[in-house]
Amino acid sequence: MAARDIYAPGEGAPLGRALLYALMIAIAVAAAFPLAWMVLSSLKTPAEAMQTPPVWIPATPSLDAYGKVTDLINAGRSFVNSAIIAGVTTTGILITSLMAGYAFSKYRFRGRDALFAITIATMFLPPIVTLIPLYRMIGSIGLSASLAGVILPNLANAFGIFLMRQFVAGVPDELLEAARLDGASEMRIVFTIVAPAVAPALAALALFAFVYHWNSYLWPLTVLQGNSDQYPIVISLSRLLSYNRSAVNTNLVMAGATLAVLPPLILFVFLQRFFVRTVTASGMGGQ
Amino acid sequence: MASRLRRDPIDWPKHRAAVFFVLPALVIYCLFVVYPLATSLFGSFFEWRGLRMRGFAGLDNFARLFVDPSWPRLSGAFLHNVFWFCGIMVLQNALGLIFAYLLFLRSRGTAFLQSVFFFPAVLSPVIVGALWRLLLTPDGVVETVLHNLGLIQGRLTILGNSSWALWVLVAVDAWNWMGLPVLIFTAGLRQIQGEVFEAARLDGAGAGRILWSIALPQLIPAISSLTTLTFINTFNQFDLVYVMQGVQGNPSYSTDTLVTYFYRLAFGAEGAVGITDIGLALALGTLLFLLLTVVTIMLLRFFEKRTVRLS
Repeated sequence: MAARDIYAPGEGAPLGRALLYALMIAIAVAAAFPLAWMVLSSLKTPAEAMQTPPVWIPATPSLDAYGKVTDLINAGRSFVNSAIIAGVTTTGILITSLMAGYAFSKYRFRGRDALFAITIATMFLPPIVTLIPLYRMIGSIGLSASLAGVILPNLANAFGIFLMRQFVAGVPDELLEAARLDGASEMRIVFTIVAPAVAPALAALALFAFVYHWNSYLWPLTVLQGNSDQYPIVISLSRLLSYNRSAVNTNLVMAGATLAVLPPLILFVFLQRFFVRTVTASGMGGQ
Repeated sequence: MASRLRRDPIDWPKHRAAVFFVLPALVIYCLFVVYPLATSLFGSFFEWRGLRMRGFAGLDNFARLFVDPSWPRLSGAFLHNVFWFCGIMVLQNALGLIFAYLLFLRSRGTAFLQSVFFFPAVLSPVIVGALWRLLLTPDGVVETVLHNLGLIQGRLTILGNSSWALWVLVAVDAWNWMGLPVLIFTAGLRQIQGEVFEAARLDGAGAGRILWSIALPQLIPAISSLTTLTFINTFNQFDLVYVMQGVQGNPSYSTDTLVTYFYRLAFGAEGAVGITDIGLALALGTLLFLLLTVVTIMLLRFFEKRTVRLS
C-alpha cells in the first residue's frame, strides 16, 4: 500500500505528470465512448439515427425507441426469461459451490482428492465440446426448447467450487467447532457460519455467474431453437439484428441494448468492490 | 493442512455430511459435464449419420480433418486463433499492464478509472458486436471521426476487408475485456512491498525501469493467470465472430475460428441447413479439448518455475 505514493505530487517533471494525466483521461474517454454513444443513439429519432454524418447529441431526446423496441421484440417477456435463467442459475451455483467447497476444504472423505482433481481438470473445458451430447440429453429428458433445459446443466460450476474451497479453507476451524459444541447441525453451520464468513467471495461469484448467464448466447440459442417465447433478451436482440441487418433502425437496437445492459450493470455497481477484493485475495495477482 | 487432517481420523457422521454436501454439485457435474464430455470424446471415433451414431470409424474422422476439404478451414481457423491470442496478449494484456501501472502511479481516481475500464465486460458479446458493427459501418461514427482527423479518405470498409477484419475483432475483444488485466495487475502491484519501490527510486531508477525490472518479475502470478485465461478464451472464441461476421467468419473465412468451424460442422452453415458432419465436429472438439488441456498445463508449469518466491 505504501507503494501508492512513490511519486508524491510535485515530484518528477511537471510536463511528464501533465502528459500522464492527459493520457489517462484520453484512454478513459476512448474506453467509455462506445457506451455513451449507445445511450445517446437510443434517445434519437429514427431520422437522426440514420443521418449522415452522424448526429452526436439528439436535438430532442425522446424515449420513443424504448417503447417501440419493447413491443417489437416482446422485451417484457424476454426480460423475465433472462431474469429466470440468470437468477435461478446463479442461486444454484452459489448453493452447490458453497456446499461442495465446504466439504472439499473442511472434511476428509474417501475419493475427495480424486473428485477435486476431476473438477479442476474440467474447469477450462471448452463449452462447445459438450454442446452436442448435452443438447441431445436435454432433448431426451424432454426439456428441449424450455428454460429448464437452459438452466439445469449450469446449476453446478467448477470455477465456483474451486473458488469456494479456497475461501472456506480460510474460515477458522475453531469457529466451526464452537458452533458444533453449541449443537448446530452441519447444514446450519454452512449457511449461518460459513456463508457470512465468505460473503465477499460469494458476492463476487454471484456477480460473475449472473453476468455470465444473463449474457450467455450459444447455449440458450441451441436449446431454445425456434421457441421465441422463451428467448432471453440477448437472443431477442440478436434476432432483431439479423432480420434487418442492412436497414437496422439504429435507435431501436441501441434502446434494446441499453435496456439489456441495465441489470448486469446495476449488479456490477453494487458488487464491484467484492469482486475487486476477491480477485486480490484469490492470489490471481500475486501471493 | 495435511497434519491437521492426519490428527483427525475419519468421523462417520461428518463423512456422511460430506457426501451429502458434495452430492448436488457432483450429480449435476457428472450428468451434464463429465458424461457429455465422455460421450463426445467417445463419439469422435464413430461414423455418424445426422445425429445417429453408426459403426466404429477408428481414427477416420481425425484423418479427414487433415485433408481436403477440411484442412484449409482447420488450418485457417487455427491460425486465426493463434493471431487472436497474440493480438490480445499485446492489445489487452500488455496495454492493460501499462494502464494498471499508470493508475498505480496516480493516487487519485484509481477506483473510478478501473470501473470505466471494466464496465464493457458486463456487456453481452451480442451487444458488443451490434454496437461495434454500427460504429464501424460506412458513414458511421468511426469513419466520420477518422475523416475529420484526416486519417482516412473514402469509405471505411475494414469489416468487409479480409486482411483487416480479424484484427478489428481482436481490437473489439481487447476493448471488451481491458478491465480484467487492469484489475488483476493493479491488485498484483499493490501487493508488492512499498520499500522495494522506494529503494529502486533512491537508486535513481525511472518509472519505466521500475516497471520492467522491479514490478514485472513480481507480477508473474498475475501474468500467469492472464496468459492462461487469454489462451482459453481466445481458443473458445465464438460469440463475437458469430454476431459481427456470421458463422462463416466473413469475409471469405478470414475471421473463422476453431469454434465457428466446429459450429458449422455440427449445426450446418448459413444457407446450408441440415448439412452437418457430427463425426468431424466431434473429432475437432476432441482435438480442441486436448490442445486446451495440454497447453494450459504447460503454461501453468512454465510460469510456476519462474515465480519469484520471497517468503
